[in-house]
Amino acid sequence: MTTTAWIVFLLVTAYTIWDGVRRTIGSKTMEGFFAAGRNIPWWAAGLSVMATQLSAITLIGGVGMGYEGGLEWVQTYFALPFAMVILCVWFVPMYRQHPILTAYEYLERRFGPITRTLTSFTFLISRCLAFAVVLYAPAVVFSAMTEIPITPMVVVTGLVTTAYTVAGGVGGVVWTDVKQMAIIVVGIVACLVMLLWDTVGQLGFGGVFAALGAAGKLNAVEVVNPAWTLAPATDQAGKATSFWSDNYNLWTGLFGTVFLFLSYFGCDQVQVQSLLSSKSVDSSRRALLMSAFTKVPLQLLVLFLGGLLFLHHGLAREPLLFDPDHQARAANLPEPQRVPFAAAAAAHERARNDRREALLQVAAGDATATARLQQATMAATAARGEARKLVQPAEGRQKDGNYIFTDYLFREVPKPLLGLMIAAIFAAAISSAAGALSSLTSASMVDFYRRWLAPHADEARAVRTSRIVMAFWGLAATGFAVTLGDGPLLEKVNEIGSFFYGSILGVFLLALFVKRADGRAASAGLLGGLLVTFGVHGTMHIAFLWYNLVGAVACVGIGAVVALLPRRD
Amino acid sequence: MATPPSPDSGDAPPPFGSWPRTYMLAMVLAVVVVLLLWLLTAYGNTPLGSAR
Repeated sequence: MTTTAWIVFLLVTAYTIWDGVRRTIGSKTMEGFFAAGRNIPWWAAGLSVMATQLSAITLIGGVGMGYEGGLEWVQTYFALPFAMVILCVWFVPMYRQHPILTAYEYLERRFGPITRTLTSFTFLISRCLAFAVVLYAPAVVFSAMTEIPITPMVVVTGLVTTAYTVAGGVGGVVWTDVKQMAIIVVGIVACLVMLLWDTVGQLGFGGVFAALGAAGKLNAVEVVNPAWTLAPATDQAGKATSFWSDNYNLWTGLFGTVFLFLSYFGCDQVQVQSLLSSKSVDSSRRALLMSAFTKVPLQLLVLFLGGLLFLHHGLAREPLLFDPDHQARAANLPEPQRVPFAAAAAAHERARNDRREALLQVAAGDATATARLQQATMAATAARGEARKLVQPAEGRQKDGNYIFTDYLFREVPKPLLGLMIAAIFAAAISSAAGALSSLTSASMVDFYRRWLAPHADEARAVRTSRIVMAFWGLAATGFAVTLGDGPLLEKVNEIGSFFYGSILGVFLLALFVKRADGRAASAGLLGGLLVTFGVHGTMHIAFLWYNLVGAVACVGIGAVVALLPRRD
Repeated sequence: MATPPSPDSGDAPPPFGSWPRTYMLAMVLAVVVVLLLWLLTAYGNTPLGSAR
């Protein structure tokens, strides 16, 4: 990375953080520190909701998914508007009828302290794990860029996030999110313009879409797949063909993720804190609807960026290996692997040439070249996979989807734009991490410290302790992130959450819709839902998005049954 | 001293006149977007491995 890129990155990042934190630095009350005095405008709360959800993982991995799998991942977001409407109708009024600081405070009013404590504790475990993953992702980028190992990168990201969150509290996080979201959108659009300029120049506007379609990259909706079986697979062999183990299709997108979104945006303190800090019920509703209708187009843009990058590499020179670690290993291969590696490289070269010709033919209107394009694409993918296997025998470290976008940024974009894009990815990372950090702290402080340990602590002492607890969470998650290995980062975050989200949502559904449910029923439902989810995970191969539905249904079912049982008193 | 805003007072009317109408329009828009993307897939995409 050149001096220019470093200067752009440092200036943009420093301004974003300073301007966000200066507005709320020095809060003296819990209401000020954890809810920004309930004075955040709806558009800022909406942008904060988006920035927190759009992590660096979404950016880096999303472009890689668009490159390899096309638009299919967008289906995951189809349920978002429906989930937001449900939250606006039932959840927002539920939270805003009392001056609460965490989502779980409401549960004490409805079910008593045990349910509140159990649910908040479940949140703390799941969010701490996800927080560590969120810290790990940008470290991959910076490590690839500077050849500095991942560990110091994780530490720097964790410390920067912790420092500005401790200084500004939730208000600082929200206002920083607003700036960060603007940088992210500018960065994405700038890359999109560059890639469109290149590909449209070579293929024409219609040719770009024809080529993307012929390569199978315009696969935004999958309704039915002849290979699906309806019985859930219970062994590895059946995993690929079961409907239930397919992560990305219309049905998972509508019925699996609706429970994920209801729980993430409606019951997860990381998002609820933005809603609680906005000015009114209507402000919270507007914030949710705004993020629902900007998220889907933004996600489409990220995936489309991946598709355009596929065309760009298809027309120019796709690297055989994207991961710098793989490239370094390839340069020092032991003797027995050099011949097969050279064969894989030659096969990739042939497939690449074939694909380039087929792309030009398809773009020129020759539909008969579609089969050749697809065969060449599959052959190039297979050759790349073979090369990765040879340089990296460990299966978990063979995927390189997270390096596709960064490879392009570091090798091809102008240096000022590289600086801006790194600032955007860093912004995405720390905005998600800061949201996680402030929510972990508010749950710890409000649901545990003030509830059980020091109910009579004055405001100044509580805020001082909050800052210490926040620093503890930041350092603990940074330490945990250092121990994480490489892998499909994007799915790790949602996977970790999906084990817990369904059951937490179930508790809130019991509170809202099962009048007979009491604390005993809610606690039994929560624990039962978690057990059923982990049981399903251990015995069947189903897509992690379905865990949300499984957990919610199990929690509500068990809670409803327990509510019907006669009470001892 | 200025009175802080009440947590339950709306600071602006709903985007489309009333909340029920806003929700209805939001869901209709969501369905239209999914349909448009389905059309894009059905008429513009050739699933990988299916071309002959």
